[in-house]
Amino acid sequence: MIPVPAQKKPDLGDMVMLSIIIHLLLVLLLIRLSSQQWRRAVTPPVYYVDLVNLPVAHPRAGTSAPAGNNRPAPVATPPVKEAMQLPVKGGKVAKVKAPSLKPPPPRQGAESDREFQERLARLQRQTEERHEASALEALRQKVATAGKGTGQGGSPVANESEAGSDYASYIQSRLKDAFASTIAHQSRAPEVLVRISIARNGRLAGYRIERSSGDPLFEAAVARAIAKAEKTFPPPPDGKVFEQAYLFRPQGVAKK
Amino acid sequence: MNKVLFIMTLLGLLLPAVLSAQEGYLEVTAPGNRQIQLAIAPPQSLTGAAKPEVAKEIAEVLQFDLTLAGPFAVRAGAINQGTSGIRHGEFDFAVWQAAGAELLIKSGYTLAADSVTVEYRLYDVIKQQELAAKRYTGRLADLRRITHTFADEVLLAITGERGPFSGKIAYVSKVTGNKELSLMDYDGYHVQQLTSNGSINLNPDFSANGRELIYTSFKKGKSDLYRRELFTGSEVRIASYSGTNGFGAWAPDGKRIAISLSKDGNAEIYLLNKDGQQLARLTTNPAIDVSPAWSPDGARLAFVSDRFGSPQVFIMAADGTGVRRLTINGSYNAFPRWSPKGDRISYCRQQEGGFQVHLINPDGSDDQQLTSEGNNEHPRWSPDGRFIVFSSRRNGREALYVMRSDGGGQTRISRGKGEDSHPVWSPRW
Repeated sequence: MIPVPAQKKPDLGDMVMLSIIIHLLLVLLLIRLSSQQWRRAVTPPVYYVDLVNLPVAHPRAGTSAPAGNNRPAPVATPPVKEAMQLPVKGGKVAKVKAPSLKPPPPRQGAESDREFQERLARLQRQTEERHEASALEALRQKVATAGKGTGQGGSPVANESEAGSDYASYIQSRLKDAFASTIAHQSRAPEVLVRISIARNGRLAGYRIERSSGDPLFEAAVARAIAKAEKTFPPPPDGKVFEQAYLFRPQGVAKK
Repeated sequence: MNKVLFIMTLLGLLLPAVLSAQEGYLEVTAPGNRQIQLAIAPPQSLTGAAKPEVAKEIAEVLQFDLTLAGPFAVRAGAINQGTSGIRHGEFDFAVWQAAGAELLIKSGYTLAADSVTVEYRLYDVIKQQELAAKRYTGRLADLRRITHTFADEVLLAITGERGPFSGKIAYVSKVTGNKELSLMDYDGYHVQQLTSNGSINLNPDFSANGRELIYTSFKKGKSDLYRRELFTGSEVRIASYSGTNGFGAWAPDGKRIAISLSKDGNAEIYLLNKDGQQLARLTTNPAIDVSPAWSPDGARLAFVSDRFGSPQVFIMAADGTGVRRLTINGSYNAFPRWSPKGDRISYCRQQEGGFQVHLINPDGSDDQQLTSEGNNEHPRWSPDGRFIVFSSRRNGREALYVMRSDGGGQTRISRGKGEDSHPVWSPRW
């Protein structure tokens, strides 16, 4: 009689382990697929060439260089920020004394942390305002010569897959500029994740808070920033409703 | 063993991939923490003749409260400006936006005989939205209180937490030459003298509902603890044990009072009920234990003891167990008070030149000095934890000051000529 070798049956542990591995792989596959689909839907793959960090209002129009004149646009002088003004009877605006351009007198006593932070923030804002003014002046020059472009790479006549057409980044830059003028918070390091929808005509279709900071002062500042920035939104270049999540947070403040 | 290693390796490979598959976003950051530009439109008469002093008082109270609050850069217009309406649609937001305002308060009043009706509206200028609208009617003499109440509402609308401006401050005043208890608005107006016994009255403390005060008085020759009902003026002596009966502190539940009694020899911390019956003795130590202060949840007490040689702040559970030392720096630390949120404890530290107000975490970390000018004592929190009221001799006579809990905006609120000390801020009335 020929002995039959005993057939080894898989034990329960092996089966469970195999099941766990298969399930994990399936979950991973699904997550990756859904993530890639989302990214394709929201952020079209573009050739992103940020030459001068210049915001472009209308990616399909105009040129960066005036026809027949390749000289660079003159840089605008920094604007002098006016102090807050109060309205007067009749709807006119009464100017409150503008801040003097003279350097402030030497301070008596050491400044507090808060004063130092406010001063630092003011300086940073002034720098950003100067950059913005220069950028807008350059933009005005381009718009003035729209339609006479040379079709150079990186110019606004390029199509949406070329330079200057990263719409999500452009909206980010508009939000950032507006946020610098509204930021206020009462908690140490608030963060709020907001999903913004922009209609085909460039109007804000709506926004919703996906992750709250729990700081109403900060969230009101974000809401004001969106309301301010909305006026500068151009229509989405692909003619479709644009949707993107933006995370708002104070600069240089890390969570504990 | 090999199987476990295999699974761990597999998970190690899979997890980063899963975690990296989070939803994408773009960051929007900005530097600093700026103040919100808040404009106060000149209050206007809604019906009948205008009364400039009414408009002036409304604007001044709003400006004082909201400037002290911290998040706002407040600008109030001149009396004769702005005659458009106060309701949404009755004025042009663009004018205010051009003026740099982000928030706008419009208000109007109607006078009738001895009463006044005031309507306040808070707007977000950029979003062109109404954020709060309130109408109050009261005596003309209550105009300041009415306006403080709306300032509380502004903080609620903007920060999510109501302000404390409509609360009162009880304190010890020497305006008569004796140390008597008085009551005033938080900004120093409407002073009312509560006691006139010609003796020494100290350490007032409000009940949780703000309707009753306990305080120590020597009016019967020794320091006893009294409880006074503020609206009726009725008063009862609740602790007159032998020795001192001092530093009464009302528990957040309104049922218990922590007190320092020396009836058994040296000063120890005891618990009484609100009628003065002894519930428990919390400390047993040959040293002096005084100045108990409740945590907001009523579970712990901070107190001062010289058991290690010099007065220092200690913390214990409300049943007297788990005593631990809180302050380790400084040779004389006293008068602890727990913040309403429970995250900080204020106290006074003796330094060169006098006492200074400090804050410290209940675990002993992050000790921070808030005052530096003159001698500053008796810090007490506002009921929302935004502000601290304290007494200071920075300008000679002892007077009451208020500051934000970060030490900013230190402002004198005493308006009388006498010396003021031992302030305590009531809950909202």
